[in-house]
Amino acid sequence: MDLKKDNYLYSFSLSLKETLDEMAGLPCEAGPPRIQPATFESAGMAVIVGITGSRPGRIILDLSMETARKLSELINGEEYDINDEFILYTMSELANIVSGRAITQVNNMDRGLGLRLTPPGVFLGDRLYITSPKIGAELFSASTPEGSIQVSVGFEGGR
Amino acid sequence: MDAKMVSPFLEAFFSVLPAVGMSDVRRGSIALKEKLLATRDITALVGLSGDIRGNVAYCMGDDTARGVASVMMMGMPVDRFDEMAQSAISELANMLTSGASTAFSGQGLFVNISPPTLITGQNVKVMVSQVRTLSIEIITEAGLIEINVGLEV
Repeated sequence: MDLKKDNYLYSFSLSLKETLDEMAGLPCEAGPPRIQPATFESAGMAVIVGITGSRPGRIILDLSMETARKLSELINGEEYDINDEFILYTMSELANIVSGRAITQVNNMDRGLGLRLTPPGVFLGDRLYITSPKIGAELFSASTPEGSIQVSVGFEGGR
Repeated sequence: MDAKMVSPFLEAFFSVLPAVGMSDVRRGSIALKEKLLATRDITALVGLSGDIRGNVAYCMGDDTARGVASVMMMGMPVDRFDEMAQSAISELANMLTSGASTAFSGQGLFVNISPPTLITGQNVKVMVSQVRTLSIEIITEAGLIEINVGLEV
């Protein structure tokens, strides 16, 4: 079965919703999927998880530093300054768990896929631009009371 | 992380860069750095899974990226880091990491790699893994390329 856009992206939106609920007690509403241009401007922090296997690609969770700080505080039950490195570790772990759950679902839907994940890489900065050459990606926006998270999933050669 | 983890990346640089037309390639310093690093203008991130898991970030200045892309495109002038230059640097990151993956297989370690993602910006910092990062400088005629390797071993 080919990856269908509503199937695999749905796995990610469900995974994000469940994970935010379990880890932070936070509700989350996912918007509709849309096509992502090859280059996009980050809100301030981008967590990138690579996909290897029969359909190589990547997952990007993108959010503002302030949203990342608030989510980290809720998840860990502690207060953080905006520059605290624990925010990076927490967002890295969030991306890891969300991606892991989603990819497990996607693999279960098609046993031949054998997709695996790489550890997350976290980027932060000003005027941060992310480009994925030769990747066809789609994204959805998830809104939470603490801010929004963009989730982008893309594969080599297209959707 | 020990020398056996580093040498595949060095091997890849010394075989891939000459193959794309870079004639002057030398190793600079190697240092173990903290988890969060300040990067240069342009970073190409590639992830690894399999017997070795982690990330490698190839970091370079804008002028170096354009210089390397120009050499890869047979000397065509590259005035800005446009789509063609992005594609060239992405392809280079792919070739270098594939080369390292092949070298790892010689050690009996099987590694798959993800497609590269390019990141540009100002005051950019990166955490390539939750372990300390090994940073290797490669000096080329187009300028300095830094390989930042974070592997879970």
